[in-house]
Amino acid sequence: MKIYLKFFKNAFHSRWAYKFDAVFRCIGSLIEVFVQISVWTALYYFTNTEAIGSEAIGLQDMISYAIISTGISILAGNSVIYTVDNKIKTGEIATDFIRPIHFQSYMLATTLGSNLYDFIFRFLPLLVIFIPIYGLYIPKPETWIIFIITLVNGVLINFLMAYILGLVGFWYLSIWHLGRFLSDFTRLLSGSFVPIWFFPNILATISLFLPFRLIYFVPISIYLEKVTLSQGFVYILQQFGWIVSLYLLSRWVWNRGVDKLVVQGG
Amino acid sequence: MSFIEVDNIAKYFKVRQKADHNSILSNLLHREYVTKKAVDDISFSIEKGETVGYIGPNGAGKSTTIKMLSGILVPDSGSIVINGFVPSKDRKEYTKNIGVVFGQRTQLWWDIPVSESLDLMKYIYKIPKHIYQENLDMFYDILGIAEFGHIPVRQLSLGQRMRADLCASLLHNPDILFLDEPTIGLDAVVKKSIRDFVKEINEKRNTTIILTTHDMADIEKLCSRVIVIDHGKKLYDGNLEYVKNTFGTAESIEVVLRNNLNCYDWLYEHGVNQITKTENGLTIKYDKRIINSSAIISFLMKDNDIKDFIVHETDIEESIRQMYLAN
Repeated sequence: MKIYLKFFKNAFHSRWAYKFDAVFRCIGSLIEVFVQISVWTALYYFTNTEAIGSEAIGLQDMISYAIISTGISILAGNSVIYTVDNKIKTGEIATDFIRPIHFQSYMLATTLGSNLYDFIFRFLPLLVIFIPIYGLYIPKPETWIIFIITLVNGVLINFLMAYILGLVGFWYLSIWHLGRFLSDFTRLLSGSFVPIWFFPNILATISLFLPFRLIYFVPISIYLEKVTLSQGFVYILQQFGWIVSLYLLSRWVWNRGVDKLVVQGG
Repeated sequence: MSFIEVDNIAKYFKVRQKADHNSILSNLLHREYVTKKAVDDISFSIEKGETVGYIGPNGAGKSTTIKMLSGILVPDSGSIVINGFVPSKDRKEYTKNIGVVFGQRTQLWWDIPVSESLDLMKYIYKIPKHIYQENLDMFYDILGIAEFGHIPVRQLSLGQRMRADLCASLLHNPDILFLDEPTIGLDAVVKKSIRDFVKEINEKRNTTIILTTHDMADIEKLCSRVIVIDHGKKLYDGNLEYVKNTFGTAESIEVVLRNNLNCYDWLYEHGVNQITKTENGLTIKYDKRIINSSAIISFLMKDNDIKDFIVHETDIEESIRQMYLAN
């Protein structure tokens, strides 16, 4: 257990070496959030709308939504897909094979380490800028607990999906397009930009059968208290179901992939 | 049951075969694969504490075998049992007791100082503090790591990196050490210190050493037993002396003379095989069982002024080629 904590800390520290990178990415996220807020502001203003739908989603909700969504996207970063693929391609994975560590846990520890770093140095500065301007919605303490649980689960689900796609590198030469697929699918069906409240019926139905909404839309709607606490518990159960299924899938893909491994050199 | 038991292992790789016609379409639609047998039915057993040289020409299947023994690759057929473990299946338990050094790749973390990489080993292998410290102090001293321990691996020279990798592979006192071309690209001084170190580890700790290399001097210094493979098959398994004396007997000597020598056929009477005249001397090929270089030199010295000479021993590739031809 100690070693995974060490990996976590190491990943965090190695991000520190790229301070300028953090600054620029922070600016990038700032612009991203600002663009989203501008779009929603324009939408609400020009259609002269106060609130949309049965949940009565107003502009203030959407602003909070955009900010939280950006925070989640930083915490749930997809880089592990490229990390795993790169290790397979360069043969670096051979080094991981000769050590008595659990590769998946190692990947999780390093992903969480670097994502947490990004969260602190890329996202929290955003809050310092946006909260004074737009204010901050503070839910009840019980909501916080459910929110954090669903947030963590969502990060795990995202990790598992990215990890599994990274493992596909055992078979295919390049999985860059798969990485794009994942981000695009996620963006479309998770409600990261457009909340599922605004989805046309077909898309909303489809998203119910997929795990993407459990990463973005569900935690955010819990935070904004648009769902009841008991509904929150149902969501947590769904998340657990996905985590277990994806974990089993990842073991299966791993076992198949290990047989197929080709390490160049020698 | 031996410590290391390898039975009839094989490993195949599929290689894309380019279609006969060069059109893009036919290359896309008709994907033909050729199966390359990297390792083709190899068996051997090794006892605890042995130092074995695993040698062969490039592409013979050496590294593939090492990767199967260390659990990186899964054999397509056959079995490997080492100390009761199946490397690719019992990876977590098995790897606790092995060390691996890849000559062509580091196992250390690129961006952090060597000392921090080594510190991580303590946690990965759960090495008790006193053992870790004892080993670290000893390796720092013998391998001279103190002078670069604070430097990130990406800034090290090859010799430094290799020494650091060797240190990392032994901190947890493994029973087996796999060395895959550990001296490749190194200068003579570093090579010697690495060879001496490995020999000492084997003698003091009874660590089983399996070494692949192209450098005959590595083998001569460290191994009494060699396994020779070529094209994925085992050609020979036994004493090193036998290989050298049976297949490595062809030598050549290049002699540079100050005088002109036009009559040298008399050398043939002494058992030389071939003489070629060069710009300022002779190249003489001979069988070292029949005549040796010092005898040739002394014969020539009688009536000639020798400026310089070089003796070329048979290298291992040539010995193996001879062995393969003999089979």
